[in-house]
Amino acid sequence: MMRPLVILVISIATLGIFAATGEAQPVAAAEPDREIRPMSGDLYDAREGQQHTVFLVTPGGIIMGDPLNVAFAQWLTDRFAERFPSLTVRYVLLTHHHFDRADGGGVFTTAERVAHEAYNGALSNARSELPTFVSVQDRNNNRRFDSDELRGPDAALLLSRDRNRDSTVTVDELWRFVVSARRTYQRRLAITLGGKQVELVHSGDWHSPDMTVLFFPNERVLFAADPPPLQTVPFSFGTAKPRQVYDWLHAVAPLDFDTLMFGDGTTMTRSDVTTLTAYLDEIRAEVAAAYEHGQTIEEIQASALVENYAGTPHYPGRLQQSADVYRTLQLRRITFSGSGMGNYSRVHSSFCSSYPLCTAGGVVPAGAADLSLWLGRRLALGATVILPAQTWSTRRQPLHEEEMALRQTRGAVLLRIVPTNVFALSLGPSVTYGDAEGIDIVRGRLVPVGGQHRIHERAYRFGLAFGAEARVPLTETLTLVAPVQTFQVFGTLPESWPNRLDVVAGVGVSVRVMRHVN
Amino acid sequence: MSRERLTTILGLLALPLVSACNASYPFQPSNPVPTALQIHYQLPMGPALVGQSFGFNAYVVNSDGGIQDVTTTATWVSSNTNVIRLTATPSGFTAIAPGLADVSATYRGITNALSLTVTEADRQFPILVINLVNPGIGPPTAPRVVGQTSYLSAGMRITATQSQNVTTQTIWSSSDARVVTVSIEGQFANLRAIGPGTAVITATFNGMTAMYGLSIQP
Repeated sequence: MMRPLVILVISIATLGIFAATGEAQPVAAAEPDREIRPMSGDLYDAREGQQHTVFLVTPGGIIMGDPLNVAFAQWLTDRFAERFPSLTVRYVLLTHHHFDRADGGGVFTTAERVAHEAYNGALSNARSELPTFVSVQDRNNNRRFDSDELRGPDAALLLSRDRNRDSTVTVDELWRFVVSARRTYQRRLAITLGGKQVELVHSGDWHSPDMTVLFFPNERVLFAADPPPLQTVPFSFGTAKPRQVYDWLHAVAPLDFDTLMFGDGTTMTRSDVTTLTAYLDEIRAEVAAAYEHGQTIEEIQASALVENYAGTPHYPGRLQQSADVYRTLQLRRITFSGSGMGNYSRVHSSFCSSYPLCTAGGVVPAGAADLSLWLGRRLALGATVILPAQTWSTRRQPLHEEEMALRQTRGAVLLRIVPTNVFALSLGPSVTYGDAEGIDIVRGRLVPVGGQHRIHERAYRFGLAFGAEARVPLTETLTLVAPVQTFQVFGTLPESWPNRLDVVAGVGVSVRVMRHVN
Repeated sequence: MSRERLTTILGLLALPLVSACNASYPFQPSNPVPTALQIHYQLPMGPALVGQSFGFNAYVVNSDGGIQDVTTTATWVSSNTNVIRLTATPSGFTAIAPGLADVSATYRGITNALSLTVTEADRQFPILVINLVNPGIGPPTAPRVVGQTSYLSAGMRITATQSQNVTTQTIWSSSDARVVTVSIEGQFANLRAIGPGTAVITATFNGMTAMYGLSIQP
């Protein structure tokens, strides 16, 4: 969420204020509230109003954080020239593309701008529309913020970008001095300059898809602009999606810092961050486990949820926290099943027609393997393979004999619906591959029609698979399964296939090989 | 789950799939061995007349039931070259003089023979003659392949120009009912090709006999 910026002084100086009539009126300029203070070692906190950024001074030059805006960047340039006359700004590390943070990046002409790989794309998209992350709304949809719309917490911020001082703010005015990044990264990027290091870490898509936190390992400081609402006690996800908060925390918590400073200048200790992370992880783990076992949110909330954290600051908010997690929980599992099966093939009438003696089909042993991706607890997408033992068939006429072994391997992509934890139904397209080997003998005909011939026919046919499965959970990761699967083949039946319909049934185990909660 | 772990699982899944796709039939077709030899008339014929040429085909029946044409590779011999003589390779013969002779063929140690009678063209009457007829329209044709039918009639020729139809009074028989069957059907004797091979149809009337040899192709 965009921090409300009360840069009233800047607004007065550059743009004007709303008069009682709602018309913008020019007023006298005032000195902006700007400050530079040391944080740790050669790391400095630079502030304009309530917006903070950081810069690191190294023997090889200066590594700058967000420039905030053009005027502030120019002011910083002057300060750098005074304090560090021999150094130039070598890098501008952009936490994200929003105009309230990235504006003015081009002022540091000697610097390489670095941002997350989503930065340039997000910036390109942002240039075409008014921002939606501010509290001001374009109510008349004229693609600019008019003077009567510029009210509320972010009005001053927006008016600070009114370049032509006409009391309206256009898309172009907002993004004109937000420049693209020259260098991007995907997950993490370490930049070393003058023997010092800064690490850019992607913290997920909370607030913006290109969010970056700046980690200064030597100074043990982490800088994060526009974080999730971490400082609310007891913690509340608010408008944030739990997944985004978890992603943010899990990106940040492993970093070895002492102080986490936010873009509004407030701070948290690493201990606070790790404690909150552990607490929210426990909430999610317990909610996910209960969800997996079929419990409703009411049942979960009535249980002894995160009772190990009773008495801690965030514990009183556990009901809302668990409800938010439950509502947006994404449970992904991959299970691998192996079953011993019996395969019953019913002989199709056409296979035996005109043969006085004909035997085929019957029950033969088979095996099944299944790999399923579970989307939640009621739906799974699976790939099943049935490996049957081969069936034998014999057909005889007075002048024709045939004996053949046929092995049919069946595969299916199944959508599995699990109405209860102990029963599942599945349906999906299948393909059956048949390999037939054998010999036929034609009597009384001239060679090569007459005589004995080797039968070797390979064919595949598409069809439909339908099945049901009884499930008995044995442990958290192991389930006893008893599947019954029916395969129906479409199209012309190959000459060597005695059956169009195949039924397999058996017993096996299903092992959970992966579980991911988000 | 790591990519390596997923790859391992998919590999294990694919391994039995690949190995289990092929059927295993324990036997392969064996090399066929000739078990019998058939001599076929190239054209149906009654008693050979002196000066008449005729030909034969030879087929072996293999152990697997298949039939192979060995006409050109078989050895052809006449048992009495004064009566019938090999005059054109591989299996063309000519009737030289009245009498009896066997035409035999040998292929890889298997021999079979057809007995033929050679008569003078100018014979004493009355004689019994078998004729191929067509009750419908068009020239008559002898059965050549399994399933075909045709008709015969028996005539007692009293003089060179007079003949009496004795079909229905004639006793008809086939030397091999697995090859050809013969039976009275209306005013004619019906021939039905049953299986490949050679058969001789014999007509007997009032102490006289006539023969008609024909072959059904495999």
